[in-house]
Amino acid sequence: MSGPIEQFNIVPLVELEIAGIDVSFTNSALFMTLAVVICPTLLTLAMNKKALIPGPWQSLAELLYEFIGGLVKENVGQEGMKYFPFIFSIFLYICMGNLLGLLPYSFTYTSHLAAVGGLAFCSLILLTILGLKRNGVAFLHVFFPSGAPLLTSLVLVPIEMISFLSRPFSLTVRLVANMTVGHIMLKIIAGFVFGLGVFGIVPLAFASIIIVFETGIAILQAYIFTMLCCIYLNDAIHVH
Amino acid sequence: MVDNDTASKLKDIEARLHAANNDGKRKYGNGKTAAASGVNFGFRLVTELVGGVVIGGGLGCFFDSIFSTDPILFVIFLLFGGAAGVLNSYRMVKKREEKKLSQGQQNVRTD
Repeated sequence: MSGPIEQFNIVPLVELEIAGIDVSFTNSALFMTLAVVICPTLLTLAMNKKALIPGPWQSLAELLYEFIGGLVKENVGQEGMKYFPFIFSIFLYICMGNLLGLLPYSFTYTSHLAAVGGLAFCSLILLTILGLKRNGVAFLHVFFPSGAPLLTSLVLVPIEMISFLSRPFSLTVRLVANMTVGHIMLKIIAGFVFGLGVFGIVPLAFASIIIVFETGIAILQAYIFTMLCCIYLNDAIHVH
Repeated sequence: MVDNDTASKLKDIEARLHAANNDGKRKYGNGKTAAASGVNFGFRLVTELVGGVVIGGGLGCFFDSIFSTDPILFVIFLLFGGAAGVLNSYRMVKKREEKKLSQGQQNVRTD
C-alpha cells in the first residue's frame, strides 16, 4: 500500500519540454483544467433555463452568486462589485480544487504551496497595482502612516513592507496545511480499515465522518481565502 | 403575460420568504463551536508570526546575495521580520476584540 504522502506526488502525464524548461502536463494541471472546465459548464447549465422560480441547480448558482456578492459588499462596499468576477473566480477555483481532491484517485492541487502561493502572490501584485492606480502616491501611506516622525521611517517602512509581503504567505500556509493534514489523516485512517479485518468497521465509520468534515473544511477554506482577498481588496481601494 | 393565478402564487412565495428570512435572521457560519474557532484563530496567529520571520529572512538572504553583504542584511531583516510578525498578529487580535466589542453592544441593544 502506498504511503500517506504519496498522494501529493506530481506525476507528468504528457512529457513536454520547451527551450529546456519542463512544461509537462501533470496530474495537477489535469485537475486544474478540470476545475476550470467544470465550474463554467455547471454554472451555464444551471442558469440555462432562467426560470422565475428556480430549480435546485439554478438555486445553487444563485446562492453562490449572492453569497460571494454579499461577501464583497460587506467587506469592500458597493464599489467593490466591480471586482466581483475576480473574487468569484478565485472562490470557485479553490473550492472546486478542494472538493475534486476529495474524490477517490483524484489529486488536490490546493495542497501544493506552488499552486496556492502563486495564486496568492499574483493577487497581491494585482491588488498593489490597483491600489497604486486608484490612489496614486497616497497608497504608499500603507507603509508609512502620515503624521509619524520622519526619523521613524527607518524602522517603520521595512517592518510595514515585510508585514505587507507576508500576507500571501500566511494565506497560503493556512490553506495548504489544512488540505494536506486532512488528506494525510484520511489516508492513514483508511489504511486501518483493511489492516484490522472485522474490526475495520470502526476506522471505516471514522473515515466516513472525516469525509463529511473534510467537505465542510474544503468549502470553509475556500471561503477564508476569498474573504481575505476581499479584505486586501478593501485595503487597496480605501487607503486610510 | 402573467395570469392571476401565477401572480397570487408569486405573492404567496414572497410573503413566505419574507417570514422565513425574519424568523431565522439568516445566520451564516454560526454553527461552529467556540473551541474550533479558537483553534483556527490560534493557527492563524502562528502563521502570521512565522510568516513575518520567514519573509524577513528570505528578503535578507536575497539582498545579501545582491549586495554580497552576507550575513549582515539577513540578521537585520530577520529582526524586522519578527517585528512585522508581531505587528500583524497584534492587529489581528485587535480587530477580533473590536469585532467582539461591537457585537456585544449590538446584543445589548436588541435585548
